[in-house]
Amino acid sequence: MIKETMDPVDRIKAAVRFEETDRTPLVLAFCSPLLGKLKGLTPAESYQNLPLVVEAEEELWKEFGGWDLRYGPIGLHDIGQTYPFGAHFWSIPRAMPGVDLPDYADVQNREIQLMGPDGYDRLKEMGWYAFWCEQVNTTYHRNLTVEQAKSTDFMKVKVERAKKWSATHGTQVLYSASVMDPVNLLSTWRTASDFLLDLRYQPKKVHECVHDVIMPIFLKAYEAEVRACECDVVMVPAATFQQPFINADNFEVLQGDWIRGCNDIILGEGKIPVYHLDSNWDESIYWFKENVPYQKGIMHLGGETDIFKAKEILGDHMCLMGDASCVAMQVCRPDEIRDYYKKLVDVIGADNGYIMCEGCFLSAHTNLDNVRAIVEVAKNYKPR
Amino acid sequence: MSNYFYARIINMEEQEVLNRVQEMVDAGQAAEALAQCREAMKMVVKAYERRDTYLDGLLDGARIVNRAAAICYGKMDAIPYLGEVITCTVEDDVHQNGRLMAVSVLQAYGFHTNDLGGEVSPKRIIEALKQTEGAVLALSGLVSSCIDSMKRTVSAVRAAGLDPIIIVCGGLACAHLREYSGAQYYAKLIPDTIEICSRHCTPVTL
Repeated sequence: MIKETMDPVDRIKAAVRFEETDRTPLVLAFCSPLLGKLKGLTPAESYQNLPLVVEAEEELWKEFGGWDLRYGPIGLHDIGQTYPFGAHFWSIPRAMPGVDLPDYADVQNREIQLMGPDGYDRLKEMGWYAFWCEQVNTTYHRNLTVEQAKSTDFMKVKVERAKKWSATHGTQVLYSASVMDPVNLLSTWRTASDFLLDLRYQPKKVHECVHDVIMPIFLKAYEAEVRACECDVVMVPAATFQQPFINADNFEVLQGDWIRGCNDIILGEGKIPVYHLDSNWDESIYWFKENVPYQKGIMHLGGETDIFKAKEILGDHMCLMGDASCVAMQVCRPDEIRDYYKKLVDVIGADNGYIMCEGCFLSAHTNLDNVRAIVEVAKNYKPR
Repeated sequence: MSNYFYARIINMEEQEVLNRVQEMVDAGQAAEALAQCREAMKMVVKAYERRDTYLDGLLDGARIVNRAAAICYGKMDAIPYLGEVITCTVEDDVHQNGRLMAVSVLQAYGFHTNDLGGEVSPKRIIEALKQTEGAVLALSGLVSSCIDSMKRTVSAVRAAGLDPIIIVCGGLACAHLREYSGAQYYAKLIPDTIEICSRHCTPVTL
């Protein structure tokens, strides 16, 4: 085992600045069902036995000797808040294991259209919170008010949970706010295919709703949460809607200004942004080199983007984190995972700008021995 | 003439396309109109691959061509197809949208599709395969619980004595998934699915 001489958060900060570290930094993001698996729980049971899930994470923490940042809270059902989790986050109906799906299945978003093509005009007329209430109340048969939609209670619970965890574990949570990228949220309400056709046939309306109506509200909520959390490393949600789903001009309006806005907030607080990029961002990596400050952030890739090509484009501009996909983490052998992560250290980490992590998060069916393989490489492998 | 349809599709001139197809159908040229629309769809797919258009253009092209094709089908006794493709989202996965996008493009491109829907059991897939000789099977999924579902499905299909070409598609599609599931191919993007189907499907007339 490599002798550790650095504080975990300092280790992360050093990697962001491409400075040498005692060992490769390590970040892990467990979902509740994977932790529940350790206790013999199915995914369905995991969501009903959260104290056992927490206990399982503590056992892994002890087994692994900790890791540098706890990525989370992934699995927002930990918080005990009734879904939906507020007017800045996922609101689309979900299929739950043990209820709508077999016990062993993942929780999933249902691809149901909540908003018709005339929704853009209504959204502009009513404003986001009133529109959100109307859609959610109809879908979930609730009676939420605009004041409730604006409530920050959920955010406060998360911030306190993150503080409490940090105080007892000698490091911090990599904080993910309860605010998602507006284009992602609105597209789920239309369904992706109809949203893309809206973008083609009524681009002005789509741009106005995403950029002018929702984005300022979401950035304000994001800013409040980033300021409140006592975490130095904060996730920028921008999972999809990159090229080639949309062209460069649409990307600038729908995602570019959002990412820049989140950046300004995080960097303004002296914190480190983590760009959580799901799906394939191969054709948009160049954008980060052109729009994000030098050696200030972390790009977290999920296994679909080619991390080696990303490294060629970014060079020492931005630290990379990742990236074995959930498929690899489920079906590959531990020795394959070990070899892959050694390669990541050798190639991506050759100039110190690499943080070891899974791609996206560790899903319910991950082979835990593969997680052990990652930890083993992080804590034992250092190329001469 | 296919440039006529392609140019109008790319420019979102849907009504011009439909009007011209109707004229051709009325003149007894339904088969020719269908062929030209499908040729235009091929050009849209190539434009997408070149990044002259994006996913919205691909979907819109498919939507318009399928509407035009429906006009032609009404006047044709026998319709030629590039082949048969069975599509579904495997059990334990509720996602539909990506699959339905691919189905729309496959149809517009000239394939006959039998879309079984979402959360489909291996048993239903086997029944469909038995009814459709020579079909390519495209399995779709997005979340981690579909990984073992795909493996179970492929195993069940082989155990039933069937040997179709099987493609694993969707957000998780990769070499690892292909190998683990036992499928012959994986397809991340819609043009990949089209390319594989084009190579392995046998033309049929229905």
